[in-house]
Amino acid sequence: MKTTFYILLIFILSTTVACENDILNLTPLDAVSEGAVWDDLDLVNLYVNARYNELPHGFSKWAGGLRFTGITDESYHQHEQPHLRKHTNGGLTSDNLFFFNGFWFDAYEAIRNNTILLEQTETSELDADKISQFRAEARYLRAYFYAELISRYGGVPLIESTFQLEDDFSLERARYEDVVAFIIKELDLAIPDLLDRNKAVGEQFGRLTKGAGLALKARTLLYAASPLNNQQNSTEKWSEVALACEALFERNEYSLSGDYSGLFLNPSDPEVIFFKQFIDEFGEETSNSPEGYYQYTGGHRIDEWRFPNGSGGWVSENPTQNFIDQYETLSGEIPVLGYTGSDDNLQPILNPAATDYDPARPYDNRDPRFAFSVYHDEAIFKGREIEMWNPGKDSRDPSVDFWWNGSVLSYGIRKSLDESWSFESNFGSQQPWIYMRLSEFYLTYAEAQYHLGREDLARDYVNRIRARQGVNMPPIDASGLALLDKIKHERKIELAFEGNRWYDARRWRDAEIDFSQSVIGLEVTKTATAKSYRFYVEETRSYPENHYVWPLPIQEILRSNLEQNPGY
Amino acid sequence: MSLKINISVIKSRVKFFFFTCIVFSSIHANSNTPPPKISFHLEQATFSSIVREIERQTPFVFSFEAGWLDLETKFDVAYNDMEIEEIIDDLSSKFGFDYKIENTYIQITKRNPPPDPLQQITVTGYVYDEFKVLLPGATIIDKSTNQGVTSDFNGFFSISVDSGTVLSISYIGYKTFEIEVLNETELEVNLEIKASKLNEIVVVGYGTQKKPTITGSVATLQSNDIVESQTANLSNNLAGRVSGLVINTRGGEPGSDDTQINIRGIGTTGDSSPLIVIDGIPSRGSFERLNPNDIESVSVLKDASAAIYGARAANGAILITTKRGKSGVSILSYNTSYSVAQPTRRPFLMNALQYLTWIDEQKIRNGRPPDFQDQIQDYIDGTNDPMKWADTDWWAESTDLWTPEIQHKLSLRGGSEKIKYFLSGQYLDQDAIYKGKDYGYKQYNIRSNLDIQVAENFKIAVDLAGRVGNRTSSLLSTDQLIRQIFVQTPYELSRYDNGLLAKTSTGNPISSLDGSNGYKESSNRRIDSKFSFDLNLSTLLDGLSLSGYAAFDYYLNIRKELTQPFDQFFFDENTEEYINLRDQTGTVNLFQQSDTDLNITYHLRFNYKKSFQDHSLNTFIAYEQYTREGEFLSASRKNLVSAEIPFLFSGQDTGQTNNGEGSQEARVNYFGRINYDYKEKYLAEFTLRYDGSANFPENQRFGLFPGVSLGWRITEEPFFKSEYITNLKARFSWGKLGNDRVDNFQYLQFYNIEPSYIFQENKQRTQGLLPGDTPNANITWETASKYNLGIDFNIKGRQLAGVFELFYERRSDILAPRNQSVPIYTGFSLPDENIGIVNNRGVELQLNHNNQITQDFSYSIGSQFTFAKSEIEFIDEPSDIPDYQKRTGNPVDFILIYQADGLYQNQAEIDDSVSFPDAKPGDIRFVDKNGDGKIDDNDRIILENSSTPKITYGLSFGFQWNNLGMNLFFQGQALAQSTYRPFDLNQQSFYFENRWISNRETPNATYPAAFSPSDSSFRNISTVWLKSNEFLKLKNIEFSYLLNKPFLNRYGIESLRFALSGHNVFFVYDKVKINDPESSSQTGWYYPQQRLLTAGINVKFKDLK
Repeated sequence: MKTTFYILLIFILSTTVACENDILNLTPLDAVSEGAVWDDLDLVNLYVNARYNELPHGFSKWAGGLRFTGITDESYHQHEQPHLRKHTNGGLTSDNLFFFNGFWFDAYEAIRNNTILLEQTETSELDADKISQFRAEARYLRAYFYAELISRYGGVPLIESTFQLEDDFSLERARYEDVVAFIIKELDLAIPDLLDRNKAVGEQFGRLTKGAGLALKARTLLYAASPLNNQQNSTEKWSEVALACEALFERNEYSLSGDYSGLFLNPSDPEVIFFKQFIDEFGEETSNSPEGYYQYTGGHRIDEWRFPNGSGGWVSENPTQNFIDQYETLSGEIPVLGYTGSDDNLQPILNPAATDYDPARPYDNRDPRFAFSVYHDEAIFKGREIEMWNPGKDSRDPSVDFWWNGSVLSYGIRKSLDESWSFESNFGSQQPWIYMRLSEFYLTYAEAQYHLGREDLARDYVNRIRARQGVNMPPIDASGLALLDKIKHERKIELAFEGNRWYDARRWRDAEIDFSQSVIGLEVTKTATAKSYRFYVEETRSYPENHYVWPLPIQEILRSNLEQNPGY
Repeated sequence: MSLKINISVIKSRVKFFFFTCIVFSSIHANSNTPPPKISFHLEQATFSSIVREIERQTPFVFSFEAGWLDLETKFDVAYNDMEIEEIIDDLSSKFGFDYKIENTYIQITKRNPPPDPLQQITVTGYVYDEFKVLLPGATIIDKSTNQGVTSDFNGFFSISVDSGTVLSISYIGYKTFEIEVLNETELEVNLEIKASKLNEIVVVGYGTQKKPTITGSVATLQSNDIVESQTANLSNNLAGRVSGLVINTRGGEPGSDDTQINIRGIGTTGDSSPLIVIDGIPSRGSFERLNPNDIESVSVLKDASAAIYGARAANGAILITTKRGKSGVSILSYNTSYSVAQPTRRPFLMNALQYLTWIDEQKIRNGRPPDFQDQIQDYIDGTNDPMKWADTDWWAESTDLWTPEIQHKLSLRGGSEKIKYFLSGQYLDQDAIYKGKDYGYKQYNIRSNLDIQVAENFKIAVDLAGRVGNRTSSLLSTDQLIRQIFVQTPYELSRYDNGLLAKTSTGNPISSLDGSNGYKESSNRRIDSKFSFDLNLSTLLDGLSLSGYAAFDYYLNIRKELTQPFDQFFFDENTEEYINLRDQTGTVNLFQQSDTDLNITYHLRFNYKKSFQDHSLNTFIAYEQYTREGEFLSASRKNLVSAEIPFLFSGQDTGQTNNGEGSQEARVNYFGRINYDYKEKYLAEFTLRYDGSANFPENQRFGLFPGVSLGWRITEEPFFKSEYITNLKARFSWGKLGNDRVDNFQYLQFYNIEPSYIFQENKQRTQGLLPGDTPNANITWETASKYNLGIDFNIKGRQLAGVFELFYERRSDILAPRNQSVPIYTGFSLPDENIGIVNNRGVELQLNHNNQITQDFSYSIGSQFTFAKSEIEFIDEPSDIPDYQKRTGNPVDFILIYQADGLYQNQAEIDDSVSFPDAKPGDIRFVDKNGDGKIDDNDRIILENSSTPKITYGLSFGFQWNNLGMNLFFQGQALAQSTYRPFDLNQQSFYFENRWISNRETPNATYPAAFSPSDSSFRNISTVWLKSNEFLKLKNIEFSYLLNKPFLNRYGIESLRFALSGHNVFFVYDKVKINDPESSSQTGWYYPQQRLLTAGINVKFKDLK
């Protein structure tokens, strides 16, 4: 018996020791190893999918990562006002950008991830066409993040190849112009290998197209040519903008939509150039607490956030009365020019030229885009009349259920809402986020041509938009500075609440004035026979000059040698 | 056999433990396995020196009464490889005595002439302990008939026996004494304490050691102390009892009560939890859920003594040893307890009047018209319409005042020379505090530890333990659920008059806590098994043995989350109808997940134990390997046919999800130890471990971990003579230990698959590949160098025993991402790198005192004190941050906070100071630390103390008066602090009552004026919200009464013990007041710690044939 045991034990001992190396050589069972990815076209494709997914979108929670209507003169964010207030009262610091700081982190991570693809596929032996397309897409996406970064921060570190852990990381900020040049260079490289629009269908639907490339190019050049970044007012820069727009128009792939309200729900609309689709999920907000910034991933719930309270929503952003006043009457006149009187009871200064405006029926006879973009008292929403009067269903009367979701200013954003959504739904909202659509570039082209002295062409492109089916506003005939104002005004109205305003007012250097206006609110009172309207100042705002660019996040300043923007 | 009768009686009482009976009756047998063989040579040895030699080499202990024995005569003795009985036989003829060997006790008696076998005599006597204290309740058994009596209150007994029979006198905790009754009819029996503290056997890593020869810092806790608190969470039973072991109970939720356990504080910025080793197997996890009655002892290895666990032991090790069988009398013990629990502190939220006042004050402060002036007046006048303007105490609506907790525990312990067994079972049922649905935790634990002497030199052991822990809880996480209670507006109704659940503006929490909106179930099922052997190889080489084990631990964790529609009503004032909003509450959806884990440990060890005259050597070398394979699957379905069929098949295909992945881990270790002592006076221990961990790349995988410790027992020196100091030992240790607890595979670049971008007109979600962390090819374990200096002393034996220790530890190569110095623009997701250095130092003191005042009354006092202070020596942080924000030089867990300087009393003070732009009178005045004229992140400072206490201490008192006992245990801590800061709609009324109103009314207010979460004076966390976590509490109190009357024997009952106990009884003092001072939850959104009042009964049945 003893001998048997010894043999047995020696056996156990030797087997266990013999396989020691096998025991310790493990591989992850929840991930794909590096070797596998770059030799397999399907896996490279999956890698690119995730790069698309890194694109931020404008439906991010509250004020979100990309679009900023609540920190412009378009609207007032009634829930996040305290957080956004530092943007609207001149209080920005490098450590309080809160929701907005995350973009710096996310952008550079995405830039690295796209660069990894470019490096790993440089000598790829896989299907050449597919690889060129993937590389072009990665180039585009990297350029997109740089374009967004410089719009926020001015010049940023320009990184064209990936760092390794043991590298020296010190870098200077590249100049704004150099980053623009890089973006244009990269887009020029990418555009030929991106899809034609008619190829971007079926499995390819949603992928980047040549049109998207040209559009990003035009947008980047426009920002670079604008007063904020073109202090010498070089007309050469404006002609580059015009050329990029013409290249886009000459592709004849896009046309103005006949359905101004429906196009925001329809990524196949002929006007839509680039978009991001959503299905079946709520987004998820994560707070990266040690870094103090927010990330927002997955789907979105814009309908819940922007629906009126009476329909189960939160009315997160309220268009300001000031902005409501910007919508022309059908005769093409702005109805209200300003306000006088005490802050809690303001009197509107009516525009005598707007003869078709009745202060007792303020929402009648307005530019059709008004009703498509905003909901207000008496508007029909989901088959019922909106009730902004106290204690109407959508008001803030304390007796109303969820009264804190009643609109503070008595308005809500309607543009791009999906009225078929209901708050009992278990799903997130489904509408696409539209990054770019043709009318933006008509207006861009008009602005460029104005600066190049071709006022007729400028008016023509503005009027094309005003004349679009379903809008049919009278044409403009202004010239000189008045024409520039008209172009800016058209851009404000046409692209309202799509996130352009924050970029536009800043690049025009108008933000110091426009974003310093007090937020005017409306209170509706209903009696048995009539309604009355009281206007009041909800919030005063200011916009110091240093706000034109944001401070670099404190976290980055502490970790690098980068120079902070002036004034922070 | 009477035993069987006893068992059947028990069976009918406690059905669910029938399994123990079957096993028991089949192994109740008696046999005489020859004890191990021993060898020694002694020249001119006295009887005493021979005895000492045998006691050292074997587990045998001699018992004899000096006086009649010849202690002067000396003999030369030479025994080679002889059985103990042969040796004793030889000695008995040499020295002239009779003897009796029972288990490991050798009873030496005076040689007497053989008695008249049939003479019936009555024997009377007294039973004393070693301090001459009478012992009531001692058992006196006539071994020939197995009839017995117990001693009465005066320790007196009387028994009629046949002359020549052997009486066995036993008492719990004392060595059994046997005496052959010849002519004496009056006996005085002195029972000796079984394991007097001095000679206690202590479990250390991979073995046991006698306490006197231990050189490391090892603290132990024995079973009696462990079961004193009747809590379900074992770690609660350890808190405060062991010096150096810092345990904080962060919450009290049944089945998932969080405890934070550290040995000597936190010494790393990484994972600081100690290694838990259960019956020799690391990685068994969740020791909190073990049945406290199964625990024989807990050892805490605090210094280099843990070096034998190598790359995983840098945070120290806690060794849990479960009970095993004992040969001799078998004891069946049944324990039941019923407890009621309530939070140690419940939150008192603002009532309706306070709440509305608060909201209006906020408005007025922000220059807005107040909304609720009319309602406030109504509340004051009592004219509020209770249907619309109610006053609801949401905490009381949501939770019960007391929640029950039931435990049943049964164990059977005994055995023969051949087979020893310990069998046990536990049933635990804990209710959660919420009203309604049966949320809570149910646990079933079973254990079977068997030891079988297969052959003379071969032993095996089979240990099996199974546990099922079922937790049912709300769909919301605990934090969310408690928050849901907090955020209710107190003026809303929870239910209408007719009992219908009311819809509230923030979502009535009752549907979440009574289960009507669904539930989460998790069932944790595990089987731990261990098969071990011990082969005595003394035929090859004297003192050599081979032992080993294989452990297979299988875990299955099943989770299920079901959401369902529920009734919730809205009263329409116009129609006066209650409208059911059920349709708005969603559909029946199900999520399921299962995780499985198989952990395999193999261990093989050669032991060599040998004594050469005054030198003894105890060594081993071993090989161990550990592998773990895990896998999880999850799936969900929407729109189930019915909530009554909570399975995937009953859901729809659309919107279904499923997922699964695997994981693995492995470790390989070679290690050994040498223990050497010279006359038990000079002690030395050397350990060496060579560890390989799959967490690291091939070239960084193996590491060498040495440990040395030395001891000197000064009292053993011939020059040391003291009447008072009976034991004095100095110890020193040094060791290098490791910590490999970081994410696996950080040396590889890999890509995670995740749901990704949506393409195609019909919106198809694709998969995407996301790069994992940037690989670090050089990653390896953290290294800890630990130094320990200790002094053990005893004054007058048990009168005063103490341990004093100084420790220092330096942890280097701490794994942490370089996320403070690597620019963000690099785009890395940073892996851990070996960069940090932390040192940790402190003092521990343990003092115990036992005393006997009168024959009826004894008491004991125990105390322990620990001071531990950690300090970061290097951590990745930006170079240009101000000194007062540097983590270097501060504790590992830190609080970075604004300094508050009171409250602004008026606008002038604001204008004259640096403040946030929105500052108003009544807001917090912040200190502009860097004097740059603005308040921002740079003005925050790091505080010296964090929520981990630097000082922890415990005080225990035990009193015994006849059969009545009382135990008290106080636990305390100091030098700890946390911020407590309310958040969201409603909050503790404490903040209302102590708020600033105006400079006239409340110039000395503690808290700012009615604030909203968006106010900068609230959002920027400042020292205003800081509270000290120091406290002293009566952690346990127990009153017990032991009934051991002879009449009980008729029913086979040896003793009955009744106990009333309390756990977390009250705070002697503390500073937090609104929460339990052990909570570190800022907001109070956590499951509160529980106070437990328990009535328990313990019945012991003894094998009386």
